[in-house]
Amino acid sequence: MLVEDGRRAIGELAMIIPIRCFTCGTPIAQYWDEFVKRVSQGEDPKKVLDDLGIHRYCCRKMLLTHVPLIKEVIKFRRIL
Amino acid sequence: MEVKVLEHKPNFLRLRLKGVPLPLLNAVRRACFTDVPVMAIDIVEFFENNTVLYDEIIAHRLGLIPLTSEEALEKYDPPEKCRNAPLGDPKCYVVFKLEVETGPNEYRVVYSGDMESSDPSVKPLYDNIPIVIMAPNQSLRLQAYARLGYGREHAKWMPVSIAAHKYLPVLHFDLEGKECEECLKCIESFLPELAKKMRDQVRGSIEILEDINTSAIYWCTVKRCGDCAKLEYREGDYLLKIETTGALPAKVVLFKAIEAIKRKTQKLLEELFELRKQGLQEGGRG
Ligand SMILES: [Zn+2]
Repeated sequence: MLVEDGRRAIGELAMIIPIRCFTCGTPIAQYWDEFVKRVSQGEDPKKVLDDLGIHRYCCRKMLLTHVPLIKEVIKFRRIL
Repeated sequence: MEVKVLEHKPNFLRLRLKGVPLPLLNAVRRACFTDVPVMAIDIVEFFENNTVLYDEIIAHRLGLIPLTSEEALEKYDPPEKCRNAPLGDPKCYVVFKLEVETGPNEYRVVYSGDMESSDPSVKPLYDNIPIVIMAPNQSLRLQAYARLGYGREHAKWMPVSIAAHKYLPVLHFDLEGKECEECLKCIESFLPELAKKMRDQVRGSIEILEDINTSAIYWCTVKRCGDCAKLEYREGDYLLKIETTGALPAKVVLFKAIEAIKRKTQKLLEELFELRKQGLQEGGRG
């Protein structure tokens, strides 16, 4: 269940939304729920990011490219 | 020295500084990153964790959560004093508790707001940061200890995400009696207001105090403008920009950084004085 388009590069590095931007260190995880909600309702991600006040492209990529793999992993029981 | 505030929001500060030596300004900028203490979770004790994320990953995520630290700076001992303090020392550590369990059919996102702090003035800045997603029949019980620390130790203790300075860009232009349409079009394509100002003034200089990237203007002036316009990066006139993570207000970060530099220079002077004294004593003997 990986993403078909080219959005997987950064998202795959993280299982769950990273708390801070990899590049500049600004906290971004607090925007995740709203971002997902609004984008899944059909809003343009560009507009949502602008509304949330995320201006730099390093921070925008964190939300834009993230794939929450934890939702797949969670189906399996942990053995350790 | 002349300091002017260009923009001031709680977590964002832009200053124009004139007549400040660049090395001093750079020292302040770097002190913002490395010498201003903030609170962050440092040690985590796990009692139970069978979620899909390992203990280390959760501990790392907890560490990165920004905690409100303004009052803590006065209340708690600085990192130097806490180096050998026992775990849980109330002058050094804030204790967080997190206890979550899921029922047989329950999926649950654990948020930073679920943590209980031992001190109401030190708590997660945002309550909706997801820490982990739990599947049915899982439990997570942990106790976390936050303390003050310096950014040079770990990036989680950095109060700023951006602290940058640059020379003030000044655009000199003279459009009179020249073929400058190409130049104006180039600038107009990304900064229409600036191009309009140039057209109105015809000749003069504009100080670009806005928070914009001027490399595109520079490209235009070099490639398209000929002798119509020239961009100068003015020596001795600087713009300083500070954006914090939210743990401390930008103003506090700046003041604390300056304090840290003062403290360090004072210490350097004392050491030099001590060395000179020793030198004199040895010289006297020989
Ligand atoms: Zn960023």
